[in-house]
Amino acid sequence: MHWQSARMRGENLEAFRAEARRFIDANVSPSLARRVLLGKPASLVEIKEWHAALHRKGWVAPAWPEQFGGAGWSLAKRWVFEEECALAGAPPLSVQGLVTVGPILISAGNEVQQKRYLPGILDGSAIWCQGFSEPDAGSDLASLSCRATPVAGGYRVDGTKIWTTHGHWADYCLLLARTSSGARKQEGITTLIVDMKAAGVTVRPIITLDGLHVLNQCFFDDVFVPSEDRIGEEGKAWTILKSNIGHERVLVANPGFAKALNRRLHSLALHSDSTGRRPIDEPRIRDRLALLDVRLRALEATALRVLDHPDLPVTPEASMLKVRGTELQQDYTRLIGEVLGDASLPYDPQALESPDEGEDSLYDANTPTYLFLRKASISAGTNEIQRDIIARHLLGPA
Amino acid sequence: MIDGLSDEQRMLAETALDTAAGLAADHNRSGREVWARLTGLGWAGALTSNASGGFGGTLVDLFLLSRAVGYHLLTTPFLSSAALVAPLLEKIVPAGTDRILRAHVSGEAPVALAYEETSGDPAGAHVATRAKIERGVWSLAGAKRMVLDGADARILIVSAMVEDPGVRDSLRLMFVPRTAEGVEIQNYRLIDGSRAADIRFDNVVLDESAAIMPSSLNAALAIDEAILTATVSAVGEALGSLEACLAQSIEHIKTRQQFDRPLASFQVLRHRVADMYIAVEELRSLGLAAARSEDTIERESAIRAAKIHLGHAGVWVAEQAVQLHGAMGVSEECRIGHYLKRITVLDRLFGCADFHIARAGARF
Repeated sequence: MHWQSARMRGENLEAFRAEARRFIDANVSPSLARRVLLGKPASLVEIKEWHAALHRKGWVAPAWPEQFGGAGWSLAKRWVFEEECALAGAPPLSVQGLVTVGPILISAGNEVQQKRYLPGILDGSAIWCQGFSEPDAGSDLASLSCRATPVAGGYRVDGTKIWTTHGHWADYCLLLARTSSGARKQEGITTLIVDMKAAGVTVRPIITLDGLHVLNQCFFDDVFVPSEDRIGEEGKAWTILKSNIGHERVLVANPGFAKALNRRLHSLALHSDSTGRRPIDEPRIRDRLALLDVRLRALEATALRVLDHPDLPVTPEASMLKVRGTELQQDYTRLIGEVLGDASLPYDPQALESPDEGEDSLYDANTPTYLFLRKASISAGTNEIQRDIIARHLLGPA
Repeated sequence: MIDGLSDEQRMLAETALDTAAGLAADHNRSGREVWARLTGLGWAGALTSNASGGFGGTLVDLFLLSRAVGYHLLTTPFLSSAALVAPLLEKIVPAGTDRILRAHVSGEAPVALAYEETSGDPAGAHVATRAKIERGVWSLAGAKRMVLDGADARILIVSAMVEDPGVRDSLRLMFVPRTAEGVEIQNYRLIDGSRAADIRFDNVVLDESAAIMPSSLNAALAIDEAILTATVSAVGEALGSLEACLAQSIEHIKTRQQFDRPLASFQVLRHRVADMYIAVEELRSLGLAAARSEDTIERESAIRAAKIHLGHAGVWVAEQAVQLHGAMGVSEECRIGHYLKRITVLDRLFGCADFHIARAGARF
């Protein structure tokens, strides 16, 4: 069941949707798809293979302008594609390069930087991480203190970044560092590209509650960054970042992922156990499924309303979609766990990462997924901050 | 704090917390050593007689010991051993074989209870495992799941439908030595590090003394009672874990600064902590009421109410504790997420909230 916006109907995306589904089925093995749909992590090799397939097709960077190697798709088309990927069990890509670094290089980088770095992001040969948060600068990112001191030929970087997704895989880091102190904290922050193999860079793994290694802490100890690797003007990182956060936020609602979770939930609820009972026969479960369905409809319909007006600013809407999208993911994974009952409890990190799919496996990936997704209401601006943004829009500053 | 305890109970609570704190702080002590220390203190026999090596306590005493275990996140067989098995064992152990009970309470030869067969039936009401008797010899066939601490047990108490020619099918409890031929154990850990097992019985041959409790009604009731007692313990443990969550969250938001002020100065977080406090206090009230309840029917309702609250408000508190810690809360190296793992286990054992809501509502 797919709801359509007026824009989508105008673009006649049903043919594209079918093409997308065929492409995904042809390039993601059934075994990998089953694993992804169960919440198991794909390996780096599998992620790179999928990335390469998308690149060959010209579909890896749907948001980028065509002149930079992008597919130049409309927001609506990207929306449809993201949904099909989530429903089909395509592995999530390492998105830092594609979604954050690429657009920043396109809008604020110079030609030399674009020629040097964009191809690697496009073909997947270069993995990027984002050096933003610090131990003392989370929600208050502008209070970051990682320093970039000007020296001959470039900068010397000293400091630490934390919660760095894929820092351990990354070839490059998009780093926010302070070059000066201005009247406002936001002034004086500079965007730098750091070679993760440079002398002085150390990466420490951070294991999350699911037992997996996705996050890291990165230490920069007197790391030299040449001036060519500064993006935009010194001290202007904040402006660069703000100008890139636009309709990306609409996609963060990610109803495709919620729909994939919804499918699993329904499949589990309809499954008869050895006594012939099904969870859906319990009125409470049935009611809760109905209520989650309402929320899923609200999420998607809201996102589609926004999609229909790509030129309007979307400050409160983006925050609303982030809040509701993440809450829905969290509530789906919690309910799946409750429907599984004590079958959701056995845990083995090796089974989680093993390519043996085993749907009858003793070890279900839902509980680790539920635990990792507690992060969704914290990352990319906590849901409390998102509500502040909405409130400020409605009420003015406090 | 208005804890609703007598002086004696408060002393037990404090001593238990001190004991648990000491064991938790000693990182050199293995899980087995921690449990050895607790069995040495008689904790596995919290509810059983002095003669068995226990201290003949009440459900409130069990609740308070469980709370200490939960507050300090001790991963031990306490829940299965002290709450699920020991009192059941004392009730059913045939006269003259109370050495089995003593050896269980001392930790020397643990016993585990195997009653659940499908995850959708956490009360173990539907039993497909069958026991047949022929010429004085029993043969047991079937499979049980989620046997808490099953792999370490020397003896398994297994619920089985008895096929006795001339007698209608009835539920019995069988004593099965773990080493009997045909017993296959698949051992695993749960998300919180605790241990359980799935166990198959492939025509296991047992001698005549293996069947205990001749009346099927008693067997079913005995299991129900064991699960209720274990639920009281689970609620107690959850209370302890949630008290720790709240205390650590308070400490964190008082210390952590963003935007040049402590997180505790943001009203939304102040109200969040206030709501967490309310939820914890309600669990304390419901848990103690359940533990104190003397009327059998009322006790079942009270225990269900506490378990439902654990699944709703309790899980919410543990989730919010993670939320208040920010990204740090989702890391394994920060303790706060470990409480969420334990609460998740306690919620999903012995029936989630929805399971109990349906049954609570059925009584209206």
